[in-house]
This record gives sequence, C-alpha cells and structure tokens, in this order.
Amino acid sequence: MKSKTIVPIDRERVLAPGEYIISTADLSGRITSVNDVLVEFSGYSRDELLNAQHNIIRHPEMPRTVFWLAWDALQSGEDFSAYIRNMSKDGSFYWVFAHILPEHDAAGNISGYRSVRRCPRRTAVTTLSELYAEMLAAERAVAAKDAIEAGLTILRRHLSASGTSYERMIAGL
Amino acid sequence: MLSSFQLRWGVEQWVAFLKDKELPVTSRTRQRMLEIAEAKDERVSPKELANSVLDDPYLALKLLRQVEGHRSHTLGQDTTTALASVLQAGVDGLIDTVSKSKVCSDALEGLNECEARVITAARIARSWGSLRADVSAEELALAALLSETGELVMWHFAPELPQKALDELHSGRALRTVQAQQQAVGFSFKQLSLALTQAWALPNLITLLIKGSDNPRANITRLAMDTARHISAHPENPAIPADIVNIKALLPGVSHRTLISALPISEEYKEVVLQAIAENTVSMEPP
Repeated sequence: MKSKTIVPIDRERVLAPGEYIISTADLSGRITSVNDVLVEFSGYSRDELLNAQHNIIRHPEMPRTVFWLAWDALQSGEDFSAYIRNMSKDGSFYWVFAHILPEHDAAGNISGYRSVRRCPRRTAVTTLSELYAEMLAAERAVAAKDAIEAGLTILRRHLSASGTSYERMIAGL
Repeated sequence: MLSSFQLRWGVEQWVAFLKDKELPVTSRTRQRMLEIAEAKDERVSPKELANSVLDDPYLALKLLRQVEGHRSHTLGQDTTTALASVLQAGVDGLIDTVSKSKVCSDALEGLNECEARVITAARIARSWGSLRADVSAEELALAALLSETGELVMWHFAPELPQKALDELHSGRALRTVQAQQQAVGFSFKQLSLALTQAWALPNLITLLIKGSDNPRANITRLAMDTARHISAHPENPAIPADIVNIKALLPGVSHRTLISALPISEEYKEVVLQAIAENTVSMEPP
C-alpha cells in the first residue's frame, strides 16, 4: 500500500534508453504483473507492487486530469499515450513516456491494461512541465469535484490554440 | 449536402442508406486498371492485381460485397483474402468493375488520411502476419484494410460528418477520436463499421477485430492498426518503440529488426528505435 507519508524530493532518476517498464493491471487498476525495471525504479518490492493500485507510483505534482483522460480512453477500448512523472518509494521522481493498451478476453470485453513505459524526450518533458503546472494550479484552485473539468479546460485551450488533437500533440513533442 | 433529417440519423438509418449504395474506387486504382486494360497485358498476375486491391479499401470492400453476393454459400469458407476475391471476380471482371465505378474525391484531407492509415495498417499486418505460421497474412491485411469501413464510406457519402468530427478534435472540444465522433455525429464510426460489416456479411475477422476479441489474428492486426495510427499522427511518434515491444510479445521468436522493417518510417528513426530497444535483453516482459 502507498504510504501517505512519502515526501516528494527533488531528485530525478532517469531511465536508460534501452530500459522499459512493463506492467499489467486489472479493470480496477490493481497491478497484476511487473517487470524488474519497475521494481528497480519504483523502489517497491514485487510483492508490494502486486495487487496494489497503480496510483502507488503517482506523483502529487501530476495533474489528475491526465489520469482521468487515460481511464476515459482505456475504458472506451482505445489506447493512450502520455508523458507521466512518477514517484518512487523514497520520494524521488522519474519521467516516462507511457503507452497503455486495453487487453481483451475472447468475447471482446476489456479484461485489463498493459502499459509500456520508457525514457521520454527531454524537450517534451520541458514543454509539458509548463502545461502540467498550469493544469495542476487550475485543479487546485477549485473544489475537488470540479478539478478534472478545470484541468480539461486548460488542456482544451492549449490544443485549440495549437489547432491539434491531444494524440498529435503528444506524438509530435 | 445532407438534409436536416440525415444530420440526426443514427447508425441504423445510415446502414439502411448505405447498404445498397455503389462504392467508389480511388483515382489511383482507376488509373492503374485503365493502363492494364489498354496494354492488354496478359502477364499481369492475379497476385499483382491482389496487391492493387490491398492499396484501395473501397475496391476491396466493393469486390468482397460483389463476390459474397454471387458466391455459393456451400463453399463454406469466407472470402477472406484479397487474392481470393480477385480470383473469384476474374481479371476481366475486376477491370470491368473498376471502369464502371465512380471515383472518390482525392481533395479531402481527412479521407486521404483515413485511406493511407488503413493501407499502412494492412501492409504492416501482412508483414507481421507472415511471421507466424498459423495465420494467413493476407487475411490479416484485408481485415486491417476494412477496419475503418464506417469512416471511409462516410467520407464518400456524407463528408460533412467526418469533417465535423475532425473539427471537434482539432479545436480541443473533444480529446479523443471516438468522443469527437459521438459529439459530432451521435455515434462512433467504429459502431458504424461493425454494423456495416454485419449488414454486408464481411469476413468474421473484421468483426473480431473491431470488437476487440482476444485471439492471435485479431491481436496482431489490432497492433498493426495502432501502429499505423501512431505513424499517421507523427512519423517519429514516441509510441512506436512501445508498438515494437508489444508486437514482440506476440511474436517472441522474431527479431526487433525484422519487426520494425515492416514500418514505413525513415531508416534513421528505425535505427533510433532499435537502439532504444535492447536486442540482447533476455526478457523485458513481467514473469
């Protein structure tokens, strides 16, 4: 279980180009399998990760809106890509480019999710850090129930100004 | 120009409207067939013609509908490959069909993108499918080619609607493709594809593919479609290494280099992706 007492610290860990974090989760977001790279980067043991909610590695500086978008896409059967800042057990952070796919059973129902994460492009991290900070500020400025809509408003404004879709923005960063 | 009634139509009304419509071909197909007909080149093999079919989703769909309509159902098997449908239609039949067909617009950017995306998906699916002995690569290619039938026919018969969906997406009013389509049209083109696939009795693999069923053929084809969409979004999309990692999990005996050779991206970016995937890693997959 994620400890609420973890204090984020300003120390970044960086995935090497050939390192991939691969994990799977069930429909409720509970982790069902992890590879060694996730164990290493998260700082949690395999046993601590298995059956834990995937938000065990969520960093408090990440806008909730990004995770809402991910769930919205995955539950509709679509894949989803995002740059995500994760938090290790010791409070340090690591950025990933995450690609998440829904997995299906034989009847075509979504049975879980598979995520492949790798080192991100630094220019993308720089660009998105500013956007995420703006989204986070908007989320924090309103009541919790309105936070997602506030974050989405900032994201929509950003996309509208650049005349592109979310998917193309992420692909081109 | 669509009527105000049509703007409010749901999937069922569109299927009823589209069910018996004559499908077009691309101008590229028309040109190629005219050249073959004029040259009276008898050396053109059915295989080459089958490749032409895999370059034109409208033609593939048209032929499948045609041959399915005339085929004896006692044959018992789906006409699932482009080659089979060409052979059933016959070379002269194919040239005749194409010469009588309308040509779809090549001035609609959204249509061109959708068409290019499914052609790319079909090529990738064929290439990856050929690496597994227990699947028919041609069948996978055809399923990928027809996976976005709903959107493609709308681009020809009601281009205002897919354009409206694209506008939703590019204005930020919708953040996902399906959401954009639902906001603009009231249903997703995936729903329309599924309904048309059933109305036209298209090969079952297409239904499995669209529904998302878990079997090796559908999974390989679905990854080919995702990869084609990623390439369409940006030829150096950072999701491409994840696509290769995912297909490697389905084809573990095949090298990353072979898997990536199927993708229409620059040689430089292929090398970047290969460097980003450790070939010698024993296993990246969770135990």
